[in-house]
Amino acid sequence: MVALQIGVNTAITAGLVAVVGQSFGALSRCAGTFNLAVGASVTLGGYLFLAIIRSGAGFELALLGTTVACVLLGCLVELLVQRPLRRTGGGELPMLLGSLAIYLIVENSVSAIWGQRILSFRSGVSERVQFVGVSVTLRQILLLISCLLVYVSVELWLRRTTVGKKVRAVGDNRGLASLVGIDADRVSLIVAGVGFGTAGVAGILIGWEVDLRPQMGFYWLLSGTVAMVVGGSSRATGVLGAALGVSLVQNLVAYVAGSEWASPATYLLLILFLWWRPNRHADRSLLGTP
Amino acid sequence: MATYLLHLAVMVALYILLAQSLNLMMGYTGLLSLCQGAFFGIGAYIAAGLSLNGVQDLLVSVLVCAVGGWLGAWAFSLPLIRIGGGYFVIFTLGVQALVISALRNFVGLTNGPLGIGGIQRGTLAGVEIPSDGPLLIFAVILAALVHWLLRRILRSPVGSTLKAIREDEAFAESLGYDSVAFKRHIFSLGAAIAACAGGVYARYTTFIEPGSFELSESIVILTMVILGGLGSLRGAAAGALLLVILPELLRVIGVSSSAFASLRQVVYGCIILLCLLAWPRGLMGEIGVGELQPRRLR
Repeated sequence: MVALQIGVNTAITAGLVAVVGQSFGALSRCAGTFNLAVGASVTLGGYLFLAIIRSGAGFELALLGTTVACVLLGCLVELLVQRPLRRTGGGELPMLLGSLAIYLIVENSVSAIWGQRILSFRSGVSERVQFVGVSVTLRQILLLISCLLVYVSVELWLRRTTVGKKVRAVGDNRGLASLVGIDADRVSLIVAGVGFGTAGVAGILIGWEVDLRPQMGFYWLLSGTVAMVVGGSSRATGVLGAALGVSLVQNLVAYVAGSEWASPATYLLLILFLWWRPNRHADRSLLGTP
Repeated sequence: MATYLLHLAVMVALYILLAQSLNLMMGYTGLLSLCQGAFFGIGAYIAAGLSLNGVQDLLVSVLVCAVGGWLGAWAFSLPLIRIGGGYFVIFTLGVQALVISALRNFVGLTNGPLGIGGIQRGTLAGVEIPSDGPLLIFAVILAALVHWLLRRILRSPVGSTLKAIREDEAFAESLGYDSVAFKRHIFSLGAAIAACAGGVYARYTTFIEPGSFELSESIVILTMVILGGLGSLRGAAAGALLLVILPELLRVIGVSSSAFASLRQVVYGCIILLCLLAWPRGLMGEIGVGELQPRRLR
């Protein structure tokens, strides 16, 4: 029974980690550097949704408003920060630092506006379902389905549509993609919008299951980073498989040693994997290497 | 007022140490580290442990902190052989988060989130330090000593080698320099300096808790280095001076203490952006941020 319950908890956490890891992976691969501002979009998504809901608007309007705001944030970050930094030709570090600065500004603005208090919008479908001794709420089932829907939609967009193929082309070789007529700047703008929008939706889903804290983006960003680094973005199942692995470790550690050790286990996993992982793999993955 | 100014002066001296430590790693060797706050914390907790166990000599305490910081960084620096560029930054983020989690969770050792109080100011040459004044003098002398030591190192052939590694690691290696060994030593030396600052900080505040050494602290140090300019010892010191004093203006204009920490970080984020986009060499940098040459992500 305990194993089954851990399995269910793992699946729910993995869904959230996979969505964050996927948006982080898509953005990072297209830009050729890690985009830490994804963490800010996760935080902003959760808080904006809460603010809109509390203002009396309905669920659909809150979802739409939050997603649009996060897409706009992504586009603004790309147009005002990442693109000018890319054009300076300084490589990946300035862009990474730029994304860190955006993360700082957004996260601390959220903290200044809403305060450090833990907030929550965990409401709605909270009936528990008992199935072979495993307890799960309807909300968690809906959450898992939502995560899978978002993940599969973005994967299909990346792999099956023309724009998605252009995104992958720019990610593989920006210069070559430009040579064959792909507007790399436009593609980067689209990816920024989709990546930040997805991260914002992830923020809503996280807020639905876990409480909101201004620093929540950092934890989910690092969890998503582990999934992205371990799983890579070469195959659709890469990030998802790695997210399952990361979440399993978190839940097992929480069960054995206590929930306060779940986060350190994630960080340790990240360090150990980066340690062990030879840099020649770069964006390839254990699960996704062709 | 005098107490407040004394506090600012101590913090300036400590942040100069911290900024110099990161500047050595980032400005001279190209290692963008986001875990200086963690090593600052390791030093502070070592000093607190020593104080509570009867070791009150400030010099001994700072030396032990330096050794502790060096050893911790040396252990974490082993993966340097495998990772570079953006991956190294993510790695240091992981180290920062792991160290803070450890400080929070090893309650028996660190008293967890409640922190450790009752730390003694300590003694110097057997004489008890009666007030914060002598601690300020000690911190200033320590900062000056580190400045002098770094200047000696950076003006020696070692400094040239570090710059060669920063500019073109492959080329430096082709000349026979073991770039990984150099980077490990610099990473460890930077951590040791940060731990020294932590040791003095614990003696000065007499109370420490994990929240004082979080990622935000590492970002403060990073902002100081970027604002001051990479590859300039004087720049790092100027950046530290400015960024300790400037945010105090937020208090003057009446920002509440609850929002102060958040707004301070917003200001730091804006400064980083401004420097990246319009002022890459900062106040007196030798190179711009865009001139660091990390390995490509893909």
